[in-house]
Amino acid sequence: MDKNDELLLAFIEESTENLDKLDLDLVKLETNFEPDLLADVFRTFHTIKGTCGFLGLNNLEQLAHAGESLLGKARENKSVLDSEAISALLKLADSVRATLVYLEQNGEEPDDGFSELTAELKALTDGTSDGSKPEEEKNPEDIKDVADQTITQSPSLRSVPDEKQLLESENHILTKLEPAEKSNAGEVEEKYLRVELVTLDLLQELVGELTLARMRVGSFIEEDSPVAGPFHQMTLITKNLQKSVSLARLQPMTAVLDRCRRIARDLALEEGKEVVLKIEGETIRVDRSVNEILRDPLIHLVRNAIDHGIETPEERLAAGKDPIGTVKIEAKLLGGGVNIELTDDGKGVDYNTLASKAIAEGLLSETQAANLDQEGYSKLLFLRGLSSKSQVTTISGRGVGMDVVKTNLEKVGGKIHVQSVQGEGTTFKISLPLTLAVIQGLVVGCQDSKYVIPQLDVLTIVQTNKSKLEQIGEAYFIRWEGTLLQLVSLAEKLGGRPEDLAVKDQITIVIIQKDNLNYGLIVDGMEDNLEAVVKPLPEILGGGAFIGTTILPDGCPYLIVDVLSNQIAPAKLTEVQKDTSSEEKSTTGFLLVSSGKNRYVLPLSRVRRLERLEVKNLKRSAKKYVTPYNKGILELTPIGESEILNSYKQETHVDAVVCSTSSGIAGLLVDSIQDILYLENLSKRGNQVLINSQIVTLVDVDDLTKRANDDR
Amino acid sequence: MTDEISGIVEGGVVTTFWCEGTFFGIPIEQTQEITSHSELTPVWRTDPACVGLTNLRGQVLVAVSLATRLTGKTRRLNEEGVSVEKFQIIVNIHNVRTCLLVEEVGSTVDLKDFKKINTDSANTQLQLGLYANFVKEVYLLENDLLLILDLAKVLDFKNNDKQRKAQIC
Repeated sequence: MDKNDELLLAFIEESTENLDKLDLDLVKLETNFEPDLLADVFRTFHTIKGTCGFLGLNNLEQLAHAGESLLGKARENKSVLDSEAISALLKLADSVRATLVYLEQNGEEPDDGFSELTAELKALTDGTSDGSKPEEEKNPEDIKDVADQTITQSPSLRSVPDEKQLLESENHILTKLEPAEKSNAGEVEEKYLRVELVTLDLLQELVGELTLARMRVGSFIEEDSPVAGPFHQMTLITKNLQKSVSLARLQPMTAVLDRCRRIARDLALEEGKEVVLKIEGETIRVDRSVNEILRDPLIHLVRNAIDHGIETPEERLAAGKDPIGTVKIEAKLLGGGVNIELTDDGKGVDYNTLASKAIAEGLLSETQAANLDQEGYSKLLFLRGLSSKSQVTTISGRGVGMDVVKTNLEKVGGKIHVQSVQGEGTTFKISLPLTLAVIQGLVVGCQDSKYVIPQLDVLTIVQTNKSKLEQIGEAYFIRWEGTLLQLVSLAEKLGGRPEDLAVKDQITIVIIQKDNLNYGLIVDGMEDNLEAVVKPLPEILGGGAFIGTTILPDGCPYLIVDVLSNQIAPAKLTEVQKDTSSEEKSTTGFLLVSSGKNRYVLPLSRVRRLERLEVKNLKRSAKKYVTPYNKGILELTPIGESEILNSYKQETHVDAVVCSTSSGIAGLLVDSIQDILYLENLSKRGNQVLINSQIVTLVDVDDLTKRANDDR
Repeated sequence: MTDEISGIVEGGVVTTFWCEGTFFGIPIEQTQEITSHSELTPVWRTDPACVGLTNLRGQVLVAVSLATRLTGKTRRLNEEGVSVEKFQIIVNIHNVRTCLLVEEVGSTVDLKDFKKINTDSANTQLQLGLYANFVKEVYLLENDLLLILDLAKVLDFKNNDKQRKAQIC
C-alpha cells in the first residue's frame, strides 16, 4: 500500500465516522442555532472538501463545496437552517457516504457528478433557483477562520504527505472520534487510539492462553512456597487483564440509536407529521456485533412507528392528543441480554382489521380468529405478507418486514414482542443476548457440574426445607412474600438426574424474576458470584436453554443458563394445572383465601398469578377497583362484603388473585392468601365445600366478575 | 458444499488417528492442532456425542466423542474410570472450531502413495458398517485400511442423526 492508498483509506474511515455524527448534528441544527455545532458541521464539510481536492476527487469536492457554502451563509446570517436546506445537506451526506463505499471498492470516484444536488445546494445558498453566483465566491473570507483551523489540524491535506504528516493525519482522525471532548484536543489524542478488531481478537486469545499457563504453573506451587505470593499477584493481574481486553470490544449503543434520529426526522417530514424521538440508554455498552444486529430491525420499527402509528397533527388534535407524536426508544441491560423498548403514542394496532385481513388472505381461519387472545393478536403482526396499513406506500404497507425483523432477531437468539392498545399506541420489546458482553453472574452447583445464572434475573436466594414447600400433583410451590411461586429443578430441566427433594436437608431456591411469572429454581448450592464474559454458544449446543458460555477464573468453560427461556421457566400455572388434572381427574387444586370474616376457595386452574398491589394505585369504580397492570388495566372485584373495600384505605398494599375468566383476566381482592389445598374427594353442596371439617365458599370467578359488572 | 470445505483428499495429506480400533484420517487442512486430553466441563441436554466443553486459549469449544458420534455407543473407560479417548484434535470446519476426542494419534500420511478403494460397492459399504455415512474415501495402506472421514457430515448433528439411527437399526 503506497502513501496515497493509505491516505485514501484514512479519508474513507474518517469520513464514514464523521458522516454518522453529521446526520445527527444536522437534525439538531434544524431546530436550534448552535454556533459551535454549526462550526463543527462546517469543519467536517471543509475537511472532506480539502481532502477530496488533494486526492483528485473533483465531483465530491464540488459537492462538499456547495454544502460548505450553504453552511457558510447560515453562519453569516446566524439563522436556523430550514427543513429544505437540512434535507439537501442530508442528501449530500448520503451522496458522500455512497461515494465512499464506491471508492473503497473501486479506488476511484464514480462518474456521477452530483450536478443536480450541487445545483440545488447552490440555489439554496443564493436564495434563488436561477443559478446566480454562489455565496462562497462572493465572500470567501467569511469562512476563513474556521477553514484555517481545520487545515491546521490536517496538514496532510495541503501537500504530498510524508511519514510524519501521515501520522499527524491519523491523530487528527482520532480527535474526530469524540468531538464532544474537543475542548482540550491534546488530551483526546492521548485518550483514544484506533485499534483493528483482529488485534483485539488476538489479544483475547493470548490472554486466554496466559490464563491456562498460569493455571498450569499454579498446580506446581505449594501454599508455603516463596513464589506463592508473587503467583497470587500474577493471578490478580491476569484476571484484570482478561476483563480489560473483553471490555475493549464493547461500544456504546449510540452508534445504532443515533441513526434512528435521522430516519425519524426524514420520515416525519415526508409524511407531514410532527414527531419527537426520545432515546434513553444509548450509553449502554454492548459488543459491536450486537449493535450491527440491532441496526436494521430498529430502523424498521422506527419507520413503522411513524408511518403506521403516529397520526397527522390534525388527526391527533381530533383525538385529543398532543399534535406532536412521541416515539421513545429505551435500552437497558436485563439479565443476560440487552432489552430495547420502542414505544409510540400513535393510534395503535387495529387488531380486528388485521384479523379480517388475515382471514381474507387465507392466513387465518374464522374459527382461529374468533379464538384469538391478546398474544394471538400480537402474533398476527409478525405474519408474513400481512400489513395493518390499508395503502401500500414506499415506506410500508406491503406486509414485508415485521416477519423479517422477527426472523433476523431470532437467528441470533433474540426475541420480539408487541403490545398495542388501539388509540393509545404500540410498544415493541426486543431482547437480545449480549454476545461477548460482561454480565454479573451467579455460579450455582447442579449435580456434578456448575452453571452460571445472570444475576439481573435473580430476585433473591432462599434456603428452605421440604416441609415449607407446597405440592400440587407433581409440581412444587413456595410461598414467597405472599406470592405462590412454582419451583423447577435446574438439573431436571437440563437433563440431569431427577431431583429427590425428600433426601435434602436444605433446599436452595433461586427466585427468578420473569415478566409474567416469577418462579423458583432449585439448585444444589451457591458457588460464586462473579463478572462473567459472555462468549458465543457453540452452534452444536443449539439455543434455547442457554445464553452463551463463559470461562470462569479456574479456566474451565461453563454454560450460562437462560432462566427466562421456555426450556427452563415453568409453563403458566393454568397450563400446569391442566396437565395435572388430566392425569389425576379425581383430585382438584384450590387456593384458600380469607376476606372479611370468611374464607373462600378458588379453583387453582383459574389462578394465573398472586399479586401484592399498591393501594395508592387503585382507583374505585362503583363496586370495583381498577389498577394499571402489565401496560393495561386490571379490574379488581372484592370477594365478600363491600366493607372490605374501606379497610384497604388503612393499608399500603393489598393482596389480589389474578384469575382467568371467560372474557380475559380479572383480579379478585382478598385479605390474605392462606394456603393451597389439593383435595381428592371433594364434598360440595351448591357453592359450599367442606374442607377440613369447615364449610368454605367456592368462588365462581366468572359469576363474581359478571355481577360486579352488572352492578355498575 | 464446496470442495474446499469438504476437504479434497485424493492425493492429499491427512492427519491420522484411531477410534474404536479403526484407523481414520482427516484432511490436514481441516486440522488445526492436536493436544492431549484436558478436563472437560460436562454438558447435558444435547447430543450424547457432545461430551463437554473445553477452553482453547479463551475460546469455548464443544468436545465431541468421535466413538460415540460414529457408533452411538457411550464412551469407553479404562480400568481407572478415565475415558480411553486421550487426545484432542482441534478441527476447523466452516470457520467453526470443534474438539474431536480420539484414542490414539498417528502420523500424517500422503495419500498419493496409496491405493484408493472404491467405496460405492455394496461389499465395501457392508464392511464400513456404522461408519458408512461418515466415510468419504478409503485407502489401502501397507497393513491397514485408512478411512477418510467427511468431517462436515460428522459434525452436522442436525441432518445426520436420522441417517445414523437408520443405519444402527
